[in-house]
Amino acid sequence: MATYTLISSHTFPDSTASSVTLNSIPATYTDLVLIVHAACSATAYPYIRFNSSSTSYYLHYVYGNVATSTVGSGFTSGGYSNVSEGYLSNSLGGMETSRWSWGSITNIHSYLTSGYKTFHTHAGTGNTSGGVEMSTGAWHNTSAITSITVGTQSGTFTQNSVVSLYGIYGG
Amino acid sequence: MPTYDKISVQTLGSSASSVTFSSLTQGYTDLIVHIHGRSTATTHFDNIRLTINGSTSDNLYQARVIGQNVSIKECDKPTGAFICGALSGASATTGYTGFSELNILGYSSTVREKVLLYKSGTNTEESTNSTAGSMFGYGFWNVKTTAITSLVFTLGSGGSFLTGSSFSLYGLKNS
Repeated sequence: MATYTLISSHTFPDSTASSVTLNSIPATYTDLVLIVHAACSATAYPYIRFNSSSTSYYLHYVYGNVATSTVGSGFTSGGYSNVSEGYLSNSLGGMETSRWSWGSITNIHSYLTSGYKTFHTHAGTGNTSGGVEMSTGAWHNTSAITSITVGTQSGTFTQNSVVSLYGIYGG
Repeated sequence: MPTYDKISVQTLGSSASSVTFSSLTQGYTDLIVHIHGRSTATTHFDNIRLTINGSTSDNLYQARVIGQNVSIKECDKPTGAFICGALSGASATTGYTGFSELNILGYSSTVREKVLLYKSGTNTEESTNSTAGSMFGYGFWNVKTTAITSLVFTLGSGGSFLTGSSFSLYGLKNS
């Protein structure tokens, strides 16, 4: 029976760090799940990088704007090719500076495979230009994932923001 | 050591207009709710509504994206009690069901507001526009210093969850 096992969790003890790296991910699971619940000193997107790599991330997304109350509008989609990080959001308004309204769940598939890695993220934020987004991503690298860095594109994570990484063993 | 624990499961032995999880244990970081079933409403879809701690006044910012079959793509901003998915209604073919997986981030926190993320599908077997669909959404409960202690699920139609509908509550711990 598949279940989640906590690998690592980091609660930011103050508001000075722009990233955290979860190291030494054991090679004992099938998939990984990363949950981020955060605020930030800047209205910025959080991102992930695998093994500290800043190359070869590909993303596609579909997004609904929180400001839209009219059915049929506020919908958009798009993508990025060969960028330097795996965005946890591609179009949302980013994290908020005063509230922990950012939430995202990222499933990272077959992180040990010798092929390219894939992941998908469900994210939302209460920012006035925010909303909800579902995205898929790929990291064109054949190395097993041994570390994940969660960072913000600008500013620093607010104290009490949380990053948690779980392993799923499907055996 | 597993950190994804079953807290409670309710499978309805008779139709019910609401399902409540109260006096929630505070021993976890996040909650996950799996809902599977049908509504008595004479529609194909019926939205699942969620009231947290008896209040809807703190429900800021809801958004969802709905895809129905292959040709309709919608986005809206619901108001009132949180929408957290949809179930099949009585107009759907017998046996067809809906489901939702709802994550509530930071439900026990007294230093962070709470975030809802859900994914839902309804009448997946249907091939007709407007009678089958999927959605994903977000909700923001703007309460920082109070933990969530109760969840009450109802239906947007005011109808009832059909006999056999199930609600499974799990806790996810990060320490």
